[in-house]
Amino acid sequence: MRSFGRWPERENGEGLMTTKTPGRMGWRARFGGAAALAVAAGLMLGGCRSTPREATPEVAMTADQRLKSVESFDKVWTTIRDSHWDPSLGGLDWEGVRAELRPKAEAAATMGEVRGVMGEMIGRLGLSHFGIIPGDAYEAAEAKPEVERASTPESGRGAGEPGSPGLELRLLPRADGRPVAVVKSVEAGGGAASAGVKPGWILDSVGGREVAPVLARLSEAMKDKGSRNLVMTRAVEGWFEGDEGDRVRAEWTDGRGRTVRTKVALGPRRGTKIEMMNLPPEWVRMEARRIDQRIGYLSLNIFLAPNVVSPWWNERVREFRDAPGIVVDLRGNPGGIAAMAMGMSGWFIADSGQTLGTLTTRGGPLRLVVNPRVNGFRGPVAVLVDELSASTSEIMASGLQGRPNVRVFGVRTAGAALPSVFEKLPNGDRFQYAFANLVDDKGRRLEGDGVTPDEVIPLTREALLAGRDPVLERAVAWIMERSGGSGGPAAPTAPTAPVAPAAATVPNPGGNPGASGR
Amino acid sequence: MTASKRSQSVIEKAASVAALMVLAGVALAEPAATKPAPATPASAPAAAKPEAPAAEKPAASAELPSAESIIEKFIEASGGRAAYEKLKNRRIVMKMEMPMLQKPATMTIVQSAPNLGRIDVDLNEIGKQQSGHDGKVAWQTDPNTGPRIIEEGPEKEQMLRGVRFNSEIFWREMYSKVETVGQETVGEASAWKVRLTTPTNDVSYMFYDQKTHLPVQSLATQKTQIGDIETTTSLSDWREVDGIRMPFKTVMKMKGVPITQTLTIEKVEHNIELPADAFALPEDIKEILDSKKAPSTPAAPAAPAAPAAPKRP
Repeated sequence: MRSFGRWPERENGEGLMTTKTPGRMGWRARFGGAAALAVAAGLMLGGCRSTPREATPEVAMTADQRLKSVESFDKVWTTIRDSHWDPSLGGLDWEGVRAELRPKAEAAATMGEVRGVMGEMIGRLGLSHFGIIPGDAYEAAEAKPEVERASTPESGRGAGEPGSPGLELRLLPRADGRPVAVVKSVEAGGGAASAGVKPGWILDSVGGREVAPVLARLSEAMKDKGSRNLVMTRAVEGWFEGDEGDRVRAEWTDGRGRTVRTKVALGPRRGTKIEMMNLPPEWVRMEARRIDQRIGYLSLNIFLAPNVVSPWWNERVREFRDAPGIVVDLRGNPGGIAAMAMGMSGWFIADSGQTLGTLTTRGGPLRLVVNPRVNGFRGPVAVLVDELSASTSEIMASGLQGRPNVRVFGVRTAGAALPSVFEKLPNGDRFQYAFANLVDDKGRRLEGDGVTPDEVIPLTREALLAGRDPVLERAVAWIMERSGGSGGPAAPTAPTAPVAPAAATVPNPGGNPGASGR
Repeated sequence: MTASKRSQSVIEKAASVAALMVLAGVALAEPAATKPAPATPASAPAAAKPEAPAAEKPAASAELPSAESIIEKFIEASGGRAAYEKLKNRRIVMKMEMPMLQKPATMTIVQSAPNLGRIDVDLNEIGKQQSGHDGKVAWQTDPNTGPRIIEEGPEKEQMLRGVRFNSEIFWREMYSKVETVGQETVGEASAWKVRLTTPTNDVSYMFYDQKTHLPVQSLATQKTQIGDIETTTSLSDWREVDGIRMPFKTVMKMKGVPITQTLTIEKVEHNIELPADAFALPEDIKEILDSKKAPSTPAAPAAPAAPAAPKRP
């Protein structure tokens, strides 16, 4: 039985963040540490300004809790003073902030009140990746739907290997602007595919739990966060949590607007299982192929396991040396080890002394330097990103963007790039703080803003239902344009201006389902 | 899975990724310890950026002992010049621990007189890093960032100081100026604070225990490809090996990065028979060198020059 993925208990025994199925991984664990980082970043909720706390009644603190809450306030204040990359805190009168707010922390009667005071203090910084995580902040997403377990002693199964439904979700806006979860892809032979689920279908419920209300709540709670879609998507994907062999009930709206009820069997997770850096296990998936037997295609789902990924990447790029262009697909990649992007980008950058960006810490700037590879690839490189591309994916995409041989396609990335750590406070809450700022090589701040592609190509349900990938299609077309359709390596040209996005909405599931071939 | 791992929250584990972003760029891509130098006084604080504060005037001789005498006492306390001079090469195996590493990394340092050095760091699931100096070329390979030649400049200068074998006894060559600038309490030790300045004006500080004469702490700036990193290194657990004393435990903290790196010596050997290729350049480093030597890609044939205008008769 897996027991990571749970929050530790507070001293008073109250679960700071409980999973409803003890011993099973939370959705953050299942979708990876790096993903969790971005998720957590998103759920800082602006210093508690919009924490969805309605599920927990406010209870007056004990004398001990009050004492620890004030200690927590001091801890947060001191940590920011001592660790923020800008000692001046942007000119903020930090002593004044303390003098103003500490009496409020001392007077707070409930945990919610003291969190509010700490959130107000943090909010004065006006930065993301700073926040207090109250125990119930994730409740809406954490509540686990019912899963039909196969992993029981009686069944003879139960090795505890986490299973996968074999699908990817993305959020698309309905006509009224509210998000729905749409199937982006299904794995051939996976549980979702076997159950008949198709790309473009809308996920309505999992284990009897409706998706739309939770998305609506999270969407409202995180309306100020660029990483909102990342957080919400990972949360809903996490509802398919279970071990291999478990079955999860799910309801969908198909392309014709009909409700389809399925049981999705969880199969083995694809990829190479990696356990590193005290993170929960991750499955690294690397895909390399030729498109139309010519263009190189490289896809990576997470920047981890450099001992596995880097040799693979190096070899594949060498193999694609004769290709008219290479597609680097970072869609859905939540990031990981930033230095990997430095090395991988070295294949596409000829000049030495180039960087992908600069991290600024209290100790000074650290440049994400790229070491050009001998005989690197100098033809056109199309980088694909979406709203689930975060952190290192954003660093790589932004660092490559604007170079003569590179063009970025897709939609704006998550905008979750700062390195941050979590510290336990005396009152049991967790304090997240960033210890470095990050700007790309053009001086752009990635945090919050993300990377806007050169060509913005929103995903549409219509395209998914039709089995198309318009982002990849456009990238391939660009490469062929650059190579003159000859299939040979193309000469670099100057980057072109960004293309405005087309409007993309998903029909309201309750209304006209729109065009569909399925 | 360990009990401690079980009790750790996922988000805290995930924070390791964030930390590793920097770690990978700092402590791994440019590991401070890969400046070949077990933290011995002459090499650990190879350089430091910060200028001495105005208050840190060199001490008057009547108040504080001279830096020269402090360093010489250290040499004597750690074994004496004669003991150092008996040593021609060294291999050290160290355990490297950092909070985000699943299990400790292994670092192997090989040094040989006068200035040959190689460090191999096995970071387990992260990969293997190497760096070294073959007497001419300073280099580094990294599973994340790839191979590179360390070009002339402060970073290479610092590395050369690091690979200088028995640098402890050559401090007069390595530093153009040494000054006692005060005394401070480091842990439980009263220590002399000595400022070391290289000929290229890099400054570092060493704190010598007034009782044992051994260093207890250093302040330095690691020169790396990605930038200067100020470090505070504590040195402890000094033990004698083949006639000299070495700090078996080194704990380094980097300013601005909440990461602590702990190095523990597991094995030290001296005057061993080294293979002929112990300091040979790796293939990918040779490839870079070859590419630099190779003539640049020939440009497309130039168009025939336009005929000169006919001269007027």
